Amino acid sequence: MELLARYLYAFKNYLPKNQQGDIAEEMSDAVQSRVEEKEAQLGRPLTLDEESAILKSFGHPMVAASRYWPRQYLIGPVLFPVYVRVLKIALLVMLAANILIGSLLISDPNPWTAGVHIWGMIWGAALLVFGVVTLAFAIAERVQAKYEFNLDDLDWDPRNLPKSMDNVTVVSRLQSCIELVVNGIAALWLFDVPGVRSGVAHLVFGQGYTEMTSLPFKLGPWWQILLSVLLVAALANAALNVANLIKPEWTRLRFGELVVTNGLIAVACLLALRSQPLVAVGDGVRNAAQYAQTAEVLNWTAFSILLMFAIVCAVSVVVYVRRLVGRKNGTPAPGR
Amino acid sequence: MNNDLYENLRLELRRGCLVVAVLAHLKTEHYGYTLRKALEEHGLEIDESTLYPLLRRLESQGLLVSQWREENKRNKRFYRLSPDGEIILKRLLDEWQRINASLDRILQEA
Repeated sequence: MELLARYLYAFKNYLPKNQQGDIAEEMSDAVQSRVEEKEAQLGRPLTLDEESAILKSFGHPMVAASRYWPRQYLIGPVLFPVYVRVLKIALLVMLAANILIGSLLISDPNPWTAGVHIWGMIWGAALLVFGVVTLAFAIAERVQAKYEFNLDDLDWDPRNLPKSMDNVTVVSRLQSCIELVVNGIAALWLFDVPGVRSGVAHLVFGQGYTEMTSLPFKLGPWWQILLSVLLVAALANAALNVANLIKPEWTRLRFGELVVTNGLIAVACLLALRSQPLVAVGDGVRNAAQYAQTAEVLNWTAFSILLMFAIVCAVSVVVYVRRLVGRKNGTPAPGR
Repeated sequence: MNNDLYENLRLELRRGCLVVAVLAHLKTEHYGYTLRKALEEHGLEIDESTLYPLLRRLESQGLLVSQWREENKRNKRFYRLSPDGEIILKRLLDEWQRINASLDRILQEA
């Protein structure tokens, strides 16, 4: 019965340590009883194939042994949905934080290699977040099982449950996370954090960025005013995104904030339009006259862009005011 | 018809019935092989891979008692109902009768 010896050896390895001998001996008796029954039927000893077929009917040793273990979960069915939600939020926040922090810390002028560094940071942080969240919930599961804690044993009141979010518009956490990253990078760019402006410019303009910095033109004083307003808007939007990550149902706050920031940007653009020239030939440039026509074209281009930007922001203000007037927090907008 | 679905539901249906059948048979002493044979003779086929873990679980719950004895030159583990097992069996049989009666009424109305 060499096959049986092999089967029992493999089977024992997967059993609870304190019951290995006992259970294996019982299994041995069960198999031998089947063999004897079959031999009695056939009137002869079994062949190797017939013995093997009997052992296979008991199941793979790992599967057969698993039936002797008590049912246990790393994270049980009650906690699992909460675990998945917490993990998603934690990973989104980690992603946003790593992109922002990576933009600050990584001083590589080449945006592509800087991006590769940030990508590596993200994977390391993601594994850490996954491990910490999973460990925390696994510990909670063990504690719950040990003390036989049951939510139904708590003195809970249906009146204290959170309000229903059915048919309610909320800001998706993914959207808040993406906007947080964009607003964060915009704020870093507007603060002129070292490396961020050149990195973004390289991404947008490629090698042409170097030539652009040496062009003989300058921007009018409106540039600083508009930058300041955009910086305030980016910071306010980023703060809003954090609030919506925690409270996605705060849509009224969102629309209110967007009305204010878009309104400010529209006003700043209109004020900038009144301050001419928007683009002029730089100071101390030789042969300034030959650049005058180009400066005029750039001036007109900047004027058009600012005007369109102002119109878009003004329209956005109207849209968000309508949405704001049409709802309270957590109620659906009319016609949406 | 989805055969896997039927098999899953059939296993669920059998699971509770097998516990009652095993407890009822263990009013008299059996070891694994003879218990399986007795259940088979009464129309309840059960694999060793299901029966033996079930016997261990019922014993750990205090419903069965067991002892090793040598028989036919081999050690066999003999099981029988414990005093707690007898009480539980009686209650389960009462519940079984009640469920059967309810089911009969439902099927008649249907």
